[in-house]
Amino acid sequence: MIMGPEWQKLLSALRRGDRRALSRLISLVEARVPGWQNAMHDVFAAMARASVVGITGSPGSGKSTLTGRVALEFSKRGRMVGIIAIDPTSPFSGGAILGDRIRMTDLNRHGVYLRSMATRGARGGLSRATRDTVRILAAFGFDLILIETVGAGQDEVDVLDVADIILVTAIPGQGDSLQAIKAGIMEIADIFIVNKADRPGADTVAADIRAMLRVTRGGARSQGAATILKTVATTGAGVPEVIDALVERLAAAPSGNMESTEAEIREVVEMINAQLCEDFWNLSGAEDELRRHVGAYSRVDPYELSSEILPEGLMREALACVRARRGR
Amino acid sequence: MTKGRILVAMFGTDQHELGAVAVAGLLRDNGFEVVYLGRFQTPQTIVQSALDEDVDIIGISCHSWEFLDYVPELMALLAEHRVDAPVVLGGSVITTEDAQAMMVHGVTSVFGSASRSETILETISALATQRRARVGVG
Repeated sequence: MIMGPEWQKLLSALRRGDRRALSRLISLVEARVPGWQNAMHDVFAAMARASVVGITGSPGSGKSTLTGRVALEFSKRGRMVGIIAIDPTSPFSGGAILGDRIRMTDLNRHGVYLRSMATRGARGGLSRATRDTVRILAAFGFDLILIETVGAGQDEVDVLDVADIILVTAIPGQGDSLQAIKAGIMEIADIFIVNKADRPGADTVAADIRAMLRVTRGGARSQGAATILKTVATTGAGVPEVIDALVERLAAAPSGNMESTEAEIREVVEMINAQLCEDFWNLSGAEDELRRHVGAYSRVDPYELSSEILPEGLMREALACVRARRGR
Repeated sequence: MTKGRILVAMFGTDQHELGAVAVAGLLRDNGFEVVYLGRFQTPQTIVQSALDEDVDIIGISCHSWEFLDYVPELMALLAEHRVDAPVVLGGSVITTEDAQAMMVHGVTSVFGSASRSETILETISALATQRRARVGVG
């Protein structure tokens, strides 16, 4: 149990630049320990905006290595850099291998903070607590936050709401490279990176991306054309150009994408949805009823069962009761 | 929610990574989040990672003898930084005498070459649950 004063101590320590408090706060908020929403309210009030860069791309395309290089370079240029590295939670076991630290070994010496997070069942490529973690990092004082995330699939687009600039990585030799970087992120990324460019096929990938962009840029978020760059992240080749491209775009649209109207609406809707589900299942005892029923019968009609558990009109009745009690 | 965040690493130039990879997979398959640091770690990098990732357990895989030198250093550094996470060691080269010596330095559990998956999981589960309760996360 975390009591009120303990939250307060952590929040004060966070504002004082205490890195242990930062770390602990992220854990508590991620675990949704009671009191977390009030704590985030404090964090939200205390934070200054940070620039957020999302780095996404298929597994093995060098995201981690590139993220590490970008972080180091900006850190050397005087920015306070935090990294959130997200890996998928196994849908079968609920566990995860968070292996991004392997590729970012030099960070400690330069004060860069790296936090690994598992998606924990969230489907959009980020975890539920990613946005919270970005804000906690910003409240601590990080002014550039890199989010390295799984995949670049059609559905893994949550990073769009959170990042101001999006990098997508691709590598040669992944068969039909257009498939590897298809719709979704592809349509609105700002910088495309062909990594492992020392391998054959790098130019083909770049050409494919250019061709794809000519067709699909109707929905582009950024003004102006997307940038396509080639790198060999392990040696650092091409990385200075990536930094330059980022610096240019950060100057043009520095921060605040999380506060776009649509993103704010989506975030509040998500939070309410999560709370509604949790409340419903916790308060109704319906899960036990469901299990009993499914266990007792060999063939279950899901339509009948779900309307028994959540009868049509329940919500309307509940809201009417609440309004009546509040005298509206 | 997770059962626990477990750091897995190897010291110095110990190249034998299969054990660490196997245990990481075992933990993942049983609901744990494994912060996998891999090879070439030092007490300094482990302590920094343990703090930044707020891990519940620090697991070191030992398949060559440098752990005998590194572990005391690690334990001292963890104490200095007041890191609240138990340390467990696992590996094929750890003798009973080594295990006892390491526990004198403050290591909580040691899994030698005869250790069974069930034992490892039980111990890790118990330690993670206790630590999470202590710091208020779970």
